[in-house]
Parts: sequence; structure tokens; C-alpha cells
Amino acid sequence: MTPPEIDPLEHLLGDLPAARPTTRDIGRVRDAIAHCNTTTVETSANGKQQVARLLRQRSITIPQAIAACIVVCIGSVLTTMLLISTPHPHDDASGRNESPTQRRVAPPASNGGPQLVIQTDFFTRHQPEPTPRHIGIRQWTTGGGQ
Amino acid sequence: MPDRLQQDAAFWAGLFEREHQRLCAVALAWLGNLDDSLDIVQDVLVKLVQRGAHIDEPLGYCLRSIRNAAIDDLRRRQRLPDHEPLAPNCGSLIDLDACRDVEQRQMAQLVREALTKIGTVQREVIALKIYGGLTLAQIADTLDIPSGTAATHYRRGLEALRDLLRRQIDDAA
Repeated sequence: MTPPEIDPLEHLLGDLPAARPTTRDIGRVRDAIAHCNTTTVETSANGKQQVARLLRQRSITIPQAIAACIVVCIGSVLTTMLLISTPHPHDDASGRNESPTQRRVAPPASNGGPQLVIQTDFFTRHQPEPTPRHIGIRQWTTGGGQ
Repeated sequence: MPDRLQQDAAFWAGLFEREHQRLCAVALAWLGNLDDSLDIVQDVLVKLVQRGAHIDEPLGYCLRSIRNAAIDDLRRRQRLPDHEPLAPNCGSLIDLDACRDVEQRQMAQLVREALTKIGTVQREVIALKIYGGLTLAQIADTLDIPSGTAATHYRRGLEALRDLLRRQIDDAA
């Protein structure tokens, strides 16, 4: 039986040296594989049982779950407190220390005439446009009045 | 009932020791760097050890896993999205530094250049067969193509390489 003819190009290509890992690298990788941190797994007829067991082993424990819940709760509380204590951007800086129900006194008009003061309810303070039922309009007279 | 071979760390380490040329070649075809290829091979085999599941065809499974891991790693390095096509370089499967003389080194460079000009699948099939030492059946399994298709790619790839090399040698003369 005659051996199959080798294509001359195959011979030419095969004559070129192939890249090979060094003996040292082979030993290093082999040792890393042989000594990687794992427990010996017994083979079983049912591979699904093995996979299920490994999944259970990798799941978090009850104390870890409780600790994660506590961290999330504390984080939520802190975030909420931070948001509440942050001043509203539309607040007037001069009124920061005012009681929210304190009536704001308008500065006297330059012509001494009546002024229009809009009293808003505390709950509408942070709304962009207060609803009409919360607005009480009062008219003031200042100075000598009319 | 025969005892199934225990696929523990020693088993996979032994597989690597026997088949390191094939395993590294599959990764090297894509990554172009031997150190990176060894890292990929090590990562894949360590994960197999840690998983502990029994693999029916360990070498074929390893070759496929290593190829997929090398492609993912290359895509990550080049920051390419999944839909962008990637191509193996394969030239680094030929070791220029190990050439015995200047003439062989020149031929090696010509072959490397010619490999980049043929089809990507043909390139990978030829490089894995000749420089990786894989059989056409193993290549077909690794690339997830029929064995007949792998043989066709190999034959047509060689024809394309032959034409390219002939042209390059004629141009150089």
C-alpha cells in the first residue's frame, strides 16, 4: 500500500517552526492547574446532582443574607435623611431659618402704597406652583396708608 | 460497569501536559501572543477543575472552550461590540525566532503574510492543522463545522496560499 502523497506546499509549511511554550511555562501552568484551590469531586452517574450541589455550595449563607439586608436598610435610611436635610433650591436664603408657617413680611413699598402679600401654606412651600386653595391673599397698608 | 476516570485537578493537569501544543495553538491563533494564550488555557482548565463536572470528551470540550475564551478576550481587548466580526491572525503560530537560517525566516514571513490574505476560516483551519497538530475532525469540532466543510476549507486554503506564495516569489525574483 503506497502512502498518500504529501502536498509539497504542506511539506513546505510544515517545515517552518511552530510556536511552542517553553518547558518552564508548561510546568508553571501544569502546577497551577494541579494545585488550584478546589475539593476533590467524586464522579457520579448523575451529573445534574453534582451541579446542583455546587450551586448550593456557592449560594450565600443566612448570616450573609441578613448582613446584606441590614446594610441596604441603613443605606436607605441615610439616603432619605440626607435628602430631607438638603435645602430646597427654590428656598429664599433669607428665609432658611424661618418657621415654615411664619408670614413673610414684604419690604415697605417705595411709594407707601398698599402691598400684596401672598401667604402660602407650608405644604405648598416646595411645590413649583401652589394650588389656589392654599393661597390667602391679604392686603396691607404701610406707612400713612391712604 | 467500568469506573469512570476521575476528572480532578491531576487529570486536567495531565491533559494539559499531553496536549499543551494543541491547546495553546487554538488560543494563539486568535491572540497572537504565547503568554496570553497560556493564561487563557490556564484559566479555562482551572475553571473546569473548580466546576468539578464530568466532561464526556475532555479534549474536544477544552479546545472549544479555549477558542471561545480567546475570542472573548480579544474582543474585550479591542473593545469591540459583539456584532463586530473578528478574525484570527494565525501568523504567530509560526515562530520566526526559531527559524534555522535567513532563507527559512524569509519563507516564514512570506507565509505569515500570505495567511492574512486568505479567508479567515481557511486560515484558521490550515494553521491549526499544520502548526497546532490538530486533526481535521478535531478542527471541525472546535470550529463547530462539519468535518467535510473543514476538509474543503483546508484544501481551498492551500490552493489560495499556493497562488499567493507563487506570486510573491515571482514578484521578489
